[in-house]
Amino acid sequence: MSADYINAFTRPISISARDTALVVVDMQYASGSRHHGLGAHLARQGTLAEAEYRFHRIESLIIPNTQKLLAAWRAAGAPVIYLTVGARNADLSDAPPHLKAFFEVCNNHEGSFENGIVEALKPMPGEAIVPKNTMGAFASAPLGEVFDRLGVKTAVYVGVSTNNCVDTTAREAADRGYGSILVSDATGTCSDRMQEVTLESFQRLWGRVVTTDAAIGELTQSAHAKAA
Amino acid sequence: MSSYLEALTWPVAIDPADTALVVIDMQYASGSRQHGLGAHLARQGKLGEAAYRFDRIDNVVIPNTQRLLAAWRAARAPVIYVTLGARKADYSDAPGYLRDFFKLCHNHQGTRENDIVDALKPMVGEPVLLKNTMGAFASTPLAALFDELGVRTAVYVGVSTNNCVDTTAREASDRGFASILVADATGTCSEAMQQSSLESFRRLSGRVVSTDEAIRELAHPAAKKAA
Repeated sequence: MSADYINAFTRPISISARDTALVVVDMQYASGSRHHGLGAHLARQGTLAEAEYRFHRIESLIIPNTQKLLAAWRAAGAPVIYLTVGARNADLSDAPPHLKAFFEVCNNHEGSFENGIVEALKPMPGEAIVPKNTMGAFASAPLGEVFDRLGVKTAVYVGVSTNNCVDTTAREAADRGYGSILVSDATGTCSDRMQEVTLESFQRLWGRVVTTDAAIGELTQSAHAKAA
Repeated sequence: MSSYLEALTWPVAIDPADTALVVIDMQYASGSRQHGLGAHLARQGKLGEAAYRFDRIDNVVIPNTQRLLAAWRAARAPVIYVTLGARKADYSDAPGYLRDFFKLCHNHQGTRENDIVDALKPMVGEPVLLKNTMGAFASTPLAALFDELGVRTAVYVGVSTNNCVDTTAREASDRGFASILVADATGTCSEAMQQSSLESFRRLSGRVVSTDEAIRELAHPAAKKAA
């Protein structure tokens, strides 16, 4: 695609154990598991195959790579933050109208099984879990305050869906002065095409896109540099 | 391609009583091939890279936005302009990731580049909100303005579809306002990016309409509701 004229303006940002958080976005049973929530809803309708790409990517790529990233971030003593999506109230009355039907079919509200983070990526004690009832975290959660309290200047985002909650939150963070980085092989959405175009758009001004290996390499190097 | 999310997307209607037209970033800074970004690329001999963008603005975005403005004004429905740029001449108020872009476009309050293009000039009394971020909610009182004007739904036009337009519309949806993008009155760097942005937006965030559809529905809101 054309238009690399914008890429030239994009600010370089780096990953450092001192000020870079790993932010795991919406890796919940509600829409991150083929057996629950959205997956169960589609199965009941006989249309689970439509989401095969999504769930296969979550199982074979996002979860294993997020596990690698979590291990690296924890080993480096760098901040790990979880975001979740879902209504606060069981009657979904607090949800914005554009998300109400989605929360409803996923049975996604605080306290439901579907609202829980998938077992494979369970937070460790002391790691911040920030619930939001919107796509972007800044509309309904104090993520900016959590960043400031933990000394976070840059955040590395993983999870689902790349073009919705992940991208929206990362953009909001950039607009509020934080560096934003998406991990290409630890995020996912409905198709490869949507994944690629979302990353391409994000790289134009908003922030940086890296692989899991590159993120871990840069984090580890910064931790060693700090120790030296 | 998956349509399972489109089925869950909130239906929203255009009604002159509560639907604003929001014109985004149609300024000389990045909306004109002769100024700002266009002039910068021309100096580098790379204006050709942005031919798609400026052709679309000249031939599609501006004429259709003129038609929408005429319809909204005739219906006495609210028209709001949002602009992009630094507030200060030293760009110190801009978020880090936008500073170089603003500098190269010479885009801060008071410059010619910061002005809205003549073809789409606001009328007296129409609000103009300057944001120094991509999303309007991060740096302007757009939500308070919506509330003051009784706006429940906003129809967005302008540039760039995947940046300031889409971000502002998503932010509005997250804050309980209904959001609609006009497919042929928005634009970005390529047809592929345009189509993908609209496709993504339709999946939960809101609705996508054509200029004709928006104007027709504004004139006949009841017909839509009865249907």
